[in-house]
Amino acid sequence: MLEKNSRERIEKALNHKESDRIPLGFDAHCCGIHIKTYRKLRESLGLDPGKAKVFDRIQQLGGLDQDFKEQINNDAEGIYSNPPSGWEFKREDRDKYWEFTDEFGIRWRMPKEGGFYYDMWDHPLQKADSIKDIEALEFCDPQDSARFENVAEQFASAARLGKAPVFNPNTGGIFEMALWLRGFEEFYQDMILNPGMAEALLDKTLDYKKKFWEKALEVAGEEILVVAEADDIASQDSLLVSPDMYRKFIKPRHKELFSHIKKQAKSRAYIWYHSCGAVKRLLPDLIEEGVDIINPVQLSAADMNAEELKREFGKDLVFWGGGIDTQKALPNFSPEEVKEATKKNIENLAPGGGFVFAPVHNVQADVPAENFFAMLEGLEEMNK
Amino acid sequence: MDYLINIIENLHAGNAEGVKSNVEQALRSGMSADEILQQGMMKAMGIIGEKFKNDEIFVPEVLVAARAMKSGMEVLKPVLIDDKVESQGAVLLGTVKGDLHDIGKNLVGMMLEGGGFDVIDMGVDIEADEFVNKLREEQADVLAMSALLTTTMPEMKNVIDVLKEVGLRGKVKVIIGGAPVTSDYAEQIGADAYAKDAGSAVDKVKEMLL
Repeated sequence: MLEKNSRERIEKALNHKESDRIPLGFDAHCCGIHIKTYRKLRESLGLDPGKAKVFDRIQQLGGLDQDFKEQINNDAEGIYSNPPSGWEFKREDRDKYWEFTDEFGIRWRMPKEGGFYYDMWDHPLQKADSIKDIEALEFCDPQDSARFENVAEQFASAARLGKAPVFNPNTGGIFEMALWLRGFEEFYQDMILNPGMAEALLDKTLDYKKKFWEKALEVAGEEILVVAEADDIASQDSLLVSPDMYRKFIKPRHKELFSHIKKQAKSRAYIWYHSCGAVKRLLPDLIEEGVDIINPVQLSAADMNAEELKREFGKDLVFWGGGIDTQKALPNFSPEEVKEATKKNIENLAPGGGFVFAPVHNVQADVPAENFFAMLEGLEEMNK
Repeated sequence: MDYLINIIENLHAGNAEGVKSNVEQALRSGMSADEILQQGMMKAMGIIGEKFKNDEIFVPEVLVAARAMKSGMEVLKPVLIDDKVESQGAVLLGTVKGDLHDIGKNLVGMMLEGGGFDVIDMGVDIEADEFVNKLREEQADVLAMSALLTTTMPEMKNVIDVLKEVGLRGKVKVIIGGAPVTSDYAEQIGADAYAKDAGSAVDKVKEMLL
């Protein structure tokens, strides 16, 4: 049976049902394309490459334009909030680097030569030594109306186009934000040496998030479908913290955030959760917290075998990603190999629904255009 | 003997003050600095590395152990120098040009220090020429390079090529690591070794210098 539109197609996937074709999930968080590659792709499709603009400065992603999304038959539509009033992006020229300070006071920089992304290097709470210091840090108002100025229009536009809206997060998850605000090594050590400070900071980032989504969901109204949160808890080979530590510090707060989002949403909202790396060990915990969709399904990480993941968690989780590995396959394989690898992953993840196609994370600057199209061909062949 | 057990226990608990006073007590009791280093600090960090490799402990536990080790080393180092105890070798460490990531690299540095090596950490975004100059200046035995990005990984090959050009390749061992890096890649670009994690890095560097 043919689905009426993209939204219906993705809704079916979210309800673990197959549809006329496998839905395509670009434009959700971490399902983007690096600006350099995006320009090449536009050119190959006969679209004006000059139109491409950077929309995610940190990851240097191109804003995917409607003409491009139409050509590749994308089903998802990313919804984005804006920066708060009183903060604007100012690029500073510092020696070897381009630098800026974000709305939280975190400093980022990118090497002028040979740089691909902004990375943080200075953290506002790095020198904090008490709970008081943590409480004293002030954030821009998470409910500031400037953040949500054109959000209702974006939802209306997605509805007109029949696309499935994915409300993307405006910053990292509660754990990531704690690491970014405090500094990675400092926060990791706090979790053992100063657990009170760690909990206070996590409460603070949780509070920010709850308030942000409260307002965001009010503006989104009944059109809401997917709410995306990203909180990396794993590395290539392992978890970032022990399962016990995750369960003590992070899990209760994830659970609180996700149930808050579901409660505040005006209609059924699906929680889309992103963590790179070897997350398999914690998937049962995430399911318990109310996560509906997992991304990016990093097949190249330890113990992240597509077939096993589908068998063990396919009933409870929708896989949004896992379409093609972006560390080795997409940049380095031949187009034919990319196509075959794509088809193999789809064979493992798609049966019975519960799958939205996307590469494992953003398509990076080192991906040849032919490989991107070979990936789409693989998807197309599996749709026949 | 108890001092050594205390050092190991306190190091694992991340108790920096405890390790420091254990080292002081051990020295006062007449134990040699070398024995405290080998049987206390290095043994403890070896266990930490092993547990990290086996997913029994994670980044936070390694960081607090390394911090405790550092505070013990502050007491121990001057005595080791007085006793003319030679280090296991000097390792120059850095993240390659274009790449600003350093947690993995820092963990490697800490574990190598715990393994008795002199570590010269150059930081992130290091150009080939800077590596070369520092290698010459410090007479380091090993160059350890890190890259987190598929897009900056090729710079590791460039550094190795530059080492060849300037005639340093035969004098220094090269080990590489980072999330997207593999042993195949190490072989392909002509590195001497690849380490999957900070614990393995210590083993690999030891093997290379045998």
